[in-house]
Amino acid sequence: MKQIAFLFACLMVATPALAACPVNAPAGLVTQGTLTIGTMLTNPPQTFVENGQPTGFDIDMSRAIAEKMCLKAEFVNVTFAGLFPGLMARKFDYLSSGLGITPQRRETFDFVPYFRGGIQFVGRRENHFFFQNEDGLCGLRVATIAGTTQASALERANQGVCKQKSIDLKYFPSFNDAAMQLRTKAADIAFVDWAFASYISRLMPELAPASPIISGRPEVPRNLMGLAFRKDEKVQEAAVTEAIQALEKSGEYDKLLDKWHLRNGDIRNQADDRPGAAPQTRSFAIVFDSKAFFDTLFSTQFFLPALTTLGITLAAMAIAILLGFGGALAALSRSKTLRGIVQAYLGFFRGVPVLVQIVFWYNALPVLTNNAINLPALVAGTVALGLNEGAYMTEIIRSGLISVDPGQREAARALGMTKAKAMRRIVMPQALRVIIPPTGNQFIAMLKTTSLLFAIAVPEIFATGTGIYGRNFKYFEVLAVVSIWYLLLTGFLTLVQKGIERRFHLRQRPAVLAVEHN
Amino acid sequence: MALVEIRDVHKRFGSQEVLKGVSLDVEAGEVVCLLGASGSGKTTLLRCVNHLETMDQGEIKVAGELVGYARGRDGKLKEEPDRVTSAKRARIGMVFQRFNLFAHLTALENVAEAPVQVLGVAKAEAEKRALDLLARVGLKEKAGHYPHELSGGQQQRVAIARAVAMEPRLMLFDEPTSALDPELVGEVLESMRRLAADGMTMILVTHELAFAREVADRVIMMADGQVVEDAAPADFFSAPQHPRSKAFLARHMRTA
Repeated sequence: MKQIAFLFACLMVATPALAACPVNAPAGLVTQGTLTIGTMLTNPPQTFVENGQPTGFDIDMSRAIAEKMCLKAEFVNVTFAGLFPGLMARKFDYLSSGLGITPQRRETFDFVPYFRGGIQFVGRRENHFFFQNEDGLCGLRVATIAGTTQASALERANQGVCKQKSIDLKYFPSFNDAAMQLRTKAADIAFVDWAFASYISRLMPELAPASPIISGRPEVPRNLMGLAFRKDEKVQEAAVTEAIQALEKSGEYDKLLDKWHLRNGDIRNQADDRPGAAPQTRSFAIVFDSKAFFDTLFSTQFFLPALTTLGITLAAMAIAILLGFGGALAALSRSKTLRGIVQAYLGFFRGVPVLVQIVFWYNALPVLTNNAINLPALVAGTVALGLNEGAYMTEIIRSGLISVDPGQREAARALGMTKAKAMRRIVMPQALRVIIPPTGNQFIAMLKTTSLLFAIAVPEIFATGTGIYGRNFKYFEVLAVVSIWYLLLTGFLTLVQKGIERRFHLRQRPAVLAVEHN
Repeated sequence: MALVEIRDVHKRFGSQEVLKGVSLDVEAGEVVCLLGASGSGKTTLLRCVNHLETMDQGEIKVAGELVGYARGRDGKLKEEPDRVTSAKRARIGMVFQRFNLFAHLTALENVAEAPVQVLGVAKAEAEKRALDLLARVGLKEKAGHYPHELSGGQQQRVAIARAVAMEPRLMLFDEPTSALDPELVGEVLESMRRLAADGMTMILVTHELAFAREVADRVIMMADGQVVEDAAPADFFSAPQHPRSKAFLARHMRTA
């Protein structure tokens, strides 16, 4: 009895503290006393930045969840590619970034649903477009993000009903970019997530939803969005589930849906399509999945991307070498104007990061020119890389030309050769010996730089890799295969480079001027 | 009419006037040596003859034609198109102090390059003739060698063959032996002596006074951008008239 009385006394003392927190904070948080949440803050109205602060429906939800546990919510902004790897690496307690719950994702992660997803068209209000699904879009220009449910739905329509009059697909890095195409009239429809469709239509009165909220797949209900957890940390998942239930019960969940005008996202409307029990077959231990590795390595899906990478490299270097010759000749010319132009070219292209240039050519140029210039990603990317590289080739070729003794040119001129002939027959062959080795290096560097084009969804090797691990989460295995492909190609280029240099040197030995000074 | 007519040529580099009104005639078949201290303007004058250097005033005619310039309607000289000047230069041979053989070509290719590229001679024919010319300067067996595999004297002899291959009516020599070791000078002078004996018109800038005395028809003494003495070698070397000539000879006879 005495013992029971003692326990009771203890509970009496502890109760006031418990009463303040409706849900117990789980053990093993990444940072004690804080709920650390990984998110990508470029996805309004769910996760974005306003006045320098994270804001949106997801953000408010997580703040409310943290409050229920008497914790502080801390948001870490990462790119999409950093979300799942960051969660695996225990950088966050969970992810909240408008993530759809898919069977593949559920193999590796657990999800707690909090919002109902779905996709929707947006059009210009003046057009009065309204379609039941993507089958009505044949012949129209549609902007969306590559690799999304939207893109798959459009590609399916192009294989099927739109085979005769296909949909003109335009891919952009974000839904925001896609929607901007409506304003410049570069696209007729933007195919986006429904929450974004609702948000952008409120923000820009000239835009309007152009379809019901759909799932993107026939016979399949709209997917649910979930907070993503590591499979081995059930405590946290349970605590957050409990917190969400408390929010639903208290009406705070409804208030947040109303605040963000997202009533259609209420998960309680169709309780029947909540995800069933997650498959528990896979352990979460970090091991090398040799089957996934070899399957990826020996699959044919990298053949075309490898050719694409090689093709972009060759085309961009061809542009660069032509520009380099022009630039070098202009830099060495007597004309002040020409020299000034070259200086400006070098200054600009060597000073602006190449990734910025790539995105400029693809995304900014169409807007800037009111869609008069709207290059396909492959062309825009190749042009951007070629123009940028041209600056470096200008310097390489210029230094090659000035390495040739001026007496060589003078002797050629004295023999009656014109300036052009002296350059072609006498100066250039000697300059090439100096130009070729660094140009080979630039080729190899360019081959690797093409991977930046994944930012504008060019189907090269790295972009293909990100597409694969985006589905199966085998980052290490897929990146290992990607690396092997790059090594194969750079190895091949190195062999070509060696061959050219050897051949050149057999015929034309290094110039050692046998000059004796008196 | 003289083959080369130089009239009142002025040239300045920045603020320094290196040629101050030079006039000179060279007859066909003549060998003329330009002497003078360094900085006297003799190399600049030579380079004006084939328009490797522009002039500020005056005119130079070779075989009655202006080189590098055309007279406009207003009577003033204007630079003519590159193509036209190049065609005129093809008939004026030049041999440089530092040889300037094309480093990426063999001796044979060096000699055959311009006849093929400029005159449009068939390659086989140009190479056959190149081999003959290399034989004449004693370098037939070096035809397949690159310049860096040849001695300075051999390089200069190839350079002479290269100039002769264009069948020039005039040859300019810019201190052809001053970059050579003393023991290699003789072979180059021998090649030049044979050219002179064949009747080639030659203007040469040189410090080889013995050669000038033996081979030249006339000696021109330059000082401070002007011609100060123009005489037959026998007169010039035995009885120089101008004080600058006397000083020059006194200095060089002692060291030579």
